Amino acid sequence: MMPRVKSARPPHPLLAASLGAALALGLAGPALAAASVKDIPTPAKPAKAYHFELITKSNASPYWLAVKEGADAAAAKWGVHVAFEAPASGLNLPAQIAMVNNAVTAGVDGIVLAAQNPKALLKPVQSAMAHHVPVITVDSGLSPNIADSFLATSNVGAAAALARYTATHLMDHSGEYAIIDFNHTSSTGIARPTGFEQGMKGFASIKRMGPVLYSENSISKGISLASNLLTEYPNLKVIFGANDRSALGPANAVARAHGKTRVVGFDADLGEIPFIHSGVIQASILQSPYDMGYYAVVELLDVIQGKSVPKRIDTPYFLLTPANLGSKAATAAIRQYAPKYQPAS
Amino acid sequence: MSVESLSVTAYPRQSRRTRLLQELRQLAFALASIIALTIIFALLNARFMSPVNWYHIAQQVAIIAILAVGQTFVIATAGIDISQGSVVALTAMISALAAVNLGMPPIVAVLLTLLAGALVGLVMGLTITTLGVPPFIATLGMLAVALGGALLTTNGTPVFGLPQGFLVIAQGDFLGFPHMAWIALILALIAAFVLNRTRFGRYTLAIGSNAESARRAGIDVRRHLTLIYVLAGATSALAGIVYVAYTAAAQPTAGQNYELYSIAAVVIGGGSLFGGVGTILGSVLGALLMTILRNGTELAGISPYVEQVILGVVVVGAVYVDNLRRRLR
Repeated sequence: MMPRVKSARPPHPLLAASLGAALALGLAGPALAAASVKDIPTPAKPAKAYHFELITKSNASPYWLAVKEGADAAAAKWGVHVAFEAPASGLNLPAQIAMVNNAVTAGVDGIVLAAQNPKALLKPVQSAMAHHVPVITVDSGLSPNIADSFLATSNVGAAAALARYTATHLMDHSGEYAIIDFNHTSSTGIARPTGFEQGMKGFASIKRMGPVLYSENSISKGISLASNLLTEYPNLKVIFGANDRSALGPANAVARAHGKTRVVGFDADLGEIPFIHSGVIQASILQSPYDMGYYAVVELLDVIQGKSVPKRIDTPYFLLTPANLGSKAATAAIRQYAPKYQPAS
Repeated sequence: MSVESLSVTAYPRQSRRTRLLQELRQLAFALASIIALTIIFALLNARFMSPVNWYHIAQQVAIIAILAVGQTFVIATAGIDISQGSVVALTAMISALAAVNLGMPPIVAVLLTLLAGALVGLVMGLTITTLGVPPFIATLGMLAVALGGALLTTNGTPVFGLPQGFLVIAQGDFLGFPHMAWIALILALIAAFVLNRTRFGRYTLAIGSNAESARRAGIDVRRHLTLIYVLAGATSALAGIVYVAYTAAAQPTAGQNYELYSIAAVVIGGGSLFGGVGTILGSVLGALLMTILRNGTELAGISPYVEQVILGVVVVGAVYVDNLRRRLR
């Protein structure tokens, strides 16, 4: 497979525990009985150099490449191989279905999957499991959750916590906001706006302007959507961008307009850091894509070795703000996305 | 190029054998590439030749092959249909709404969807033939209209919960061969017969060779072209139906960029964007070549980025070899 250039780097499961847990307190909605990465058993030394396949939603987003980094690090540590496959576009279902089927045909020993669609991937995953190929889903799972394990951020919880932070710290309990989502065909694309709305429900004088808009993961589309929002609603206080691409678009638009609107979002690729530094992006939920990739590979080894793994694992998240940027915890959280990130001194 | 191809098509008196030889030469690139790739991939991963993998390849080629059939007719008239991907999305939504939200029996939903696709084609055809808008622009307009329409049907939400009677269109098999591949195969056989053995097919190629002389020869070019786009719209609808049945979900973003794959399939199979040439068999082989390339690189663990690069080289290489062959003759 591909030669590894980077040295293996241990994951940091504790980085977000404190802040994430604090923010999640008082979360509305049913609490999920989810385990944490600490509940994953440590596998024994593998009997042979297994071949695993990582199939993400698309092949060029920094987020998925961070998942790949994590999977590669675990592969290096345990002496196994992980091949990377993903459709060029996050919206090509037949291509992703084909990839899962082809991986099973190729005789891989396990699959890590971020499903483009919670229902459409059910059949190929069922077929993989019928062939005794273990499947771990990361970030975007299946409905029902038939995979051996599902590692993801609690998207509803994290988005609700972000909304409450936004309402109290950035909006002073009143005013207007708008939402730019990336799509509403994937489980994450559905969960985040839902969670954000849930979090805002507690604030009577805060209201959403316009419908939920969709960037379709295009920064340029996000810019134009946000520019139109700024024109239409001059008093807009906050735009919520539901992933890296959807937050980066509005951030660019807001920076150009020099207005008072601020952006809150999910994720942080290197393009977003300057915007957080300058305060255009006031808050962002940082997930643990690196850990998702890392622990998915660990879990595959566990399943092969007959160890039981939790069915659902909440991976930690971290709320990045201009105030904590540069702190040790923030740097660790950003390195989940960009392992080589160095804070500006 | 067009004069030469006119001689191929406009004089049906040529012996069948000569024609067959000419067609075979046109297919040489696609056939040779498929054989070469098959050998390479079989060496890289023994499972490439396993029956289950060829079953998957048959599934994976079906949608693009269906689109390539429609595209072959359009390109043979020197036109192009870049609306296909969006029409797949629109018709996917229509079929799912009909079968799920309106609770229609699957067969009715399918017929309704094919009709909708034909209507979309009719609009494109009339835009081209009566308004005089070039095919590229007319179908570019439809690309946007159909995508917008697809998003409008449900405000962007996907539709799930298709009945088993609908899913069986793509899922399940007959004589060990997946249903969706049977659909593509039967469509291709009918289309090949129509293009090679009927007056409709000869007219299609004649218009592509030289529309003006076709008109002077008494062919109702406008009517014929309009019909071609109606057929293309209906085949896109068929692809949309198969897409929904295969993925068990209708998404307004289904089929994005599929027109590029179908155009590539036609070109690899010896079709010319200048019109007048093209065979169904060639286009289907073109689709098969791309599918084998994708499947094989995935099985061999080759990076998907590399696969994209190879695909681009193959498309350009196909046209280059084709031109070389013509010049050498």
